[in-house]
Amino acid sequence: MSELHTIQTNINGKPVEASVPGRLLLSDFIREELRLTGTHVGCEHGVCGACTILYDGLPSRSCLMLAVQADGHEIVTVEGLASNGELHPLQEAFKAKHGLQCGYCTPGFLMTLVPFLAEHPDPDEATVRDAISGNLCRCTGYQSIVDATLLAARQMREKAGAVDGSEATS
Amino acid sequence: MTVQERGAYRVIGQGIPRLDAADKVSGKAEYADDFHVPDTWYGAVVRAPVACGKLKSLSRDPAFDWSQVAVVTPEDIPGNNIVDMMGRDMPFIAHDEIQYLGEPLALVAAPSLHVAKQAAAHFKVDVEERPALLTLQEMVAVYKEDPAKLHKLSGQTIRKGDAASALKDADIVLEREYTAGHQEQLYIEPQGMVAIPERDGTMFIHGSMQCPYYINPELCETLDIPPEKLRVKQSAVGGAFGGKEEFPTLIAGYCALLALKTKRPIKMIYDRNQDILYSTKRHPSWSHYRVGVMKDGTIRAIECDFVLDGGAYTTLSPVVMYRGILHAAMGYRCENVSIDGHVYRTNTFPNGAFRGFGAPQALWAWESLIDELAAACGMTPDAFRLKNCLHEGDVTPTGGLLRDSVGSPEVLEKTLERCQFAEKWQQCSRGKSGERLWYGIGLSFFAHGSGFTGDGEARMKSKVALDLETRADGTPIVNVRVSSTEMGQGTGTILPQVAADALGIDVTHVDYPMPDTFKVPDSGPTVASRTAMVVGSTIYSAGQKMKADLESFVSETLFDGQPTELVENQFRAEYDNRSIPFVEGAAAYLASHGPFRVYDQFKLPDYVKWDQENFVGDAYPAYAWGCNVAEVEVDTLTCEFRVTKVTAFFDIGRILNPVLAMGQVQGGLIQALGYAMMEKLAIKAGKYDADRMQTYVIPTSVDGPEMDLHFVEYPWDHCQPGAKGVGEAPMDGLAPAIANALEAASGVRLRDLPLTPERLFEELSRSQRLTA
Amino acid sequence: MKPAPFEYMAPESVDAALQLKARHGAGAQWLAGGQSLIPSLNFRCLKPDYVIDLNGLRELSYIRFESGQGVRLGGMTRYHELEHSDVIRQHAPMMHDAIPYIAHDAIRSRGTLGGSLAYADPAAELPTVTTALRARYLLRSESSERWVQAEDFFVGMFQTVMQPDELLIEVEIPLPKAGAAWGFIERSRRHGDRVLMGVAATLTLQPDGTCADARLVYQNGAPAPRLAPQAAASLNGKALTDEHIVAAAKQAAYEEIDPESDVHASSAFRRQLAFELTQRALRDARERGTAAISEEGAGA
Repeated sequence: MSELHTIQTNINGKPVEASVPGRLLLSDFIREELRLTGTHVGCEHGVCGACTILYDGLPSRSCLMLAVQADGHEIVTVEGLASNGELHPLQEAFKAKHGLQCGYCTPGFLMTLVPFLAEHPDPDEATVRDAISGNLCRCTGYQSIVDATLLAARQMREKAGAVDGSEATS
Repeated sequence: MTVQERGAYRVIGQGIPRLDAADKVSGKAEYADDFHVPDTWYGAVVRAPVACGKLKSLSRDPAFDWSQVAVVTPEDIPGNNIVDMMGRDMPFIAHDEIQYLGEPLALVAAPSLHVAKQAAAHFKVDVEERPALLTLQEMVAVYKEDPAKLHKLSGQTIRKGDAASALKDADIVLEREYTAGHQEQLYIEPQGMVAIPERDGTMFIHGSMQCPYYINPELCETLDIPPEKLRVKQSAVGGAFGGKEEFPTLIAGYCALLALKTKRPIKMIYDRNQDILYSTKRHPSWSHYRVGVMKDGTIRAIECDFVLDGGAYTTLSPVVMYRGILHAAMGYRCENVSIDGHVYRTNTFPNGAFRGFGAPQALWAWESLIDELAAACGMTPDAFRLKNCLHEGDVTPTGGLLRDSVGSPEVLEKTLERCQFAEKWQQCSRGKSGERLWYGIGLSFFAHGSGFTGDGEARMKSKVALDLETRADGTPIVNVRVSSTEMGQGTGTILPQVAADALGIDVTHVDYPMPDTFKVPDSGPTVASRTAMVVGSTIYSAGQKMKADLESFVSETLFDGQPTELVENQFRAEYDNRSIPFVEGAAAYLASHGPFRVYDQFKLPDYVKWDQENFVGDAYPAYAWGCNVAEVEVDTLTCEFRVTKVTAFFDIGRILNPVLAMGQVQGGLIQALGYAMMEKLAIKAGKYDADRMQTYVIPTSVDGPEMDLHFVEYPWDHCQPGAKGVGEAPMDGLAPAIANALEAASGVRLRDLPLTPERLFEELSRSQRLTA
Repeated sequence: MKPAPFEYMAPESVDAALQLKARHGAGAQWLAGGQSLIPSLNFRCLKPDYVIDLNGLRELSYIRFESGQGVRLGGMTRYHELEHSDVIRQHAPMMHDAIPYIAHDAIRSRGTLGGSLAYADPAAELPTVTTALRARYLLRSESSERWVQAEDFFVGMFQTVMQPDELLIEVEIPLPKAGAAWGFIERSRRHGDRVLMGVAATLTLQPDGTCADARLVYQNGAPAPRLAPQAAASLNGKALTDEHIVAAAKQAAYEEIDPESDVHASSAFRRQLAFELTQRALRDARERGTAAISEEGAGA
């Protein structure tokens, strides 16, 4: 019944091969097998959003997917956001603007917002609120998360503008 | 003694980022479920199938493979089968009487969670079922008939003047009843704990909790081990709100009992379903008032029954009820007060701590009633409150004198002005027919007692320590050693800020390691909005002591005995202007003396007097003050309503970190919005009907109103820096403000929480105000 | 909260999938987007012996407009693909407007059209919307194939006419007639949550302003998407006046639907919502129809 399936996947940019039972949830695979414990589990029925990861670039609930479905696909977790030891601008903005309290929901918010900001580089407050309406936070009341997102968007635009500018002049 | 002016502080009052932010945004913070301990087994609970009954027998299914399963029954408990909380009436594992559905009958552990759960499902339970008392409504019905028919868990009265005769003199007497239902804390991280039996006989408890020094000593009697053999350490906590105050003792006990039996580490992480079904909730309440007022709006007499549904066992219910009755007539002048507080048993999981701790229930009723009283006198809600609100020098319902740091009436006046209450009050729809939308504005005003109720702080005598130690990289660091926990609210940032300020150094030289009872003194539980005020001020004085000692060391060893001051990270000699950095002086101290610990202890001022038996005197050393105004819009056809704007002022004393404090207010108000309008638990067949996040609905990012939030600062004069606590006050007043606004909009008053479109629809149908 | 053990299979073609299902029958469960199935597995409401994962079947993921016929949608088309499709925006605008009501981005990135229909949750959007749009569904088994009209597909709470060996291959939405108009509105306790009540109205507004082909379908108004044929019929052949709208709404809400009480709301409150939402949906349809007629008039 519970035979193992070999999967080849890519987690945070690194190829991973593993053998998993069919019923293993992707969230449990990430947390227990890969020990990437930044992906949090809050409800296991897709409501709280704490376990959100990127699956081929799209935000997805890892508690509503099977590990075996990672075969041949790319996964990014909160541990994959920083690059070369530098936090992602969104992570920096969450720090600066107190976009977190207990921190348990934070990875889910970040993984929801990273693709959102890629699609909406200059969002207004209402759009941000709509984008995070599927992630529950019981501590902040959301305002600081919205503020952090708007700050990150601005900083990412400025950075992109600076890069474009330098290219234009070179 | 008077606290310093705000400008005298360097680090206090700065909105610095949280010290734990980097770990939390990168996924590195370690929560209970993140620990990987080799050879861990997983625990599960065998639960009672009925809400009330007598256990006749418990047996195991012989067909199941028990070879890989450890079982703990009451006979396996080394000490007394009792949870050492108030009342001492709750067994760890039920062995005779069953008082709630799901009460533990046995514990099991296995190498995998799957096997543990299967094992738990393979017990045969034989019970003699008895009729259960399940809901507040059933309980109140019995109470009205004959309170003696209920099982009383606690009672307390407040008496001031002669309310009974004063009621007879009043021009108008209003009698009203209000109820509030359960509220689930719904921290996003479910309850979780690990117990590790160490070789030397120490039991190491590590997990999600608010109060390490509850678990030790509460487990010592059960496990029959001395306190020095029970080590409790907090992991990162994913939200608590009171839900991880007393409950963790239970799950820690389950783990520890299984760890004793198996001699292995045991982990238990509740899933959301278990967490909602088998953990504490905010107590449902019934408030019954008879209040007499004179035509000019003077409050002549207040009589109140404040009754809480305690659930199955006593646990913390008496103290929740105390805070309730202490707030049930607070805020306004009245010479004649008579309050009876009661807690009765129902057959549900014991209700417990939740942000506000009785005050939100009491204030829900009291602040709704204030609007009804104003209307009865022909006054507006703002005028009635301005006339009656307590000022400095006034006396509380228990006869306590408001000596100093009284943010009333300023918070009230400022809020009214800021939101233009008087003008908007005139524009309210009051159920006018033919309109598509109704508009209403509503107000609440309240005090929230800071710190423990009554003589709690005097008995607690919070102890704190500061350690000057050497970091792994060789540099000196000051570690804050307290049992006060970081659970999101910011303890791990504000206490280092306070220590840094007292020492005259930057916060980069101060750290807050997670509390571990083998390393920290007992600064008390992280509850009651007491950490900033009580623990913060004690840290401040410990910091001042450490500063003086370091100064005299540097003076003698490096500055030839010149008077020396540590200020802005520099030891400065008074006469020759020599200075050295803090790290240099501290390193010299460490090289010469080794690690250096300074202790301090909180002491209430002598003038704070409290008679615990009669509830007379200063119920709290100080109060936070708040005023909330809610504006609502009602869809007159669907009865849906939304809060469009909240304006609020809070006096929380000295603000230690304004951004963190504002985060507490924003988050608390949204949680209060959920309590007021969304969060609902009914009981079906003994079980909460909303037992998952899909059905227990809390506010999301699109449910909140526009918020206009402000502070005023009336620092508590007794000690530096004069904080009065901010955790709970934001939970207190929004529900009645919304109910008041809804009445102003629709013309009907809702007296039961939560306030839902469906309830409004029912009331409007009854009063035939519906447009259809 | 973990699924019970099952055997997982991921066929690479529709034919292979149908063969597997034919072999294992009711003991096997299709896995489409999984956004409802996996919670059911986690709660162990469902304990299938076999799970057949359809996510590898790219051939079932498409959105095609065929002129003269209508819109064809593959059963494994995901919500977010529908949400961002110009074909849907142009040719099935009601579906376009309804999609954002479905949960949240992270759910819409996985959930599928066919999964939603086959799951047959009366509170779901797409069963109601496709019924209102007079869509039909293509069901295929290893040995046969058939088309079923949406209104004949749903038979009860989580129940359809699908046989254990069938798979929902395609949804076909017919082209709207001239003057076609619609209104869709729903209410939940919280954005993205299970709806309390929803209504989808479709009709054709004749050049003279009279209404034809009216259809009212209720989401969560009964254990399956529920039509209100009498209320709809009462509108046909008449001008869409406020009076007629209120009368139809009343008839539908208080006579033709049968909402249940649950943890979220009572039946009585749901009827009140249906009464009001029907009016709003019909007024929206009237507005859209009137605009369409005047555009056509201007174009001619």
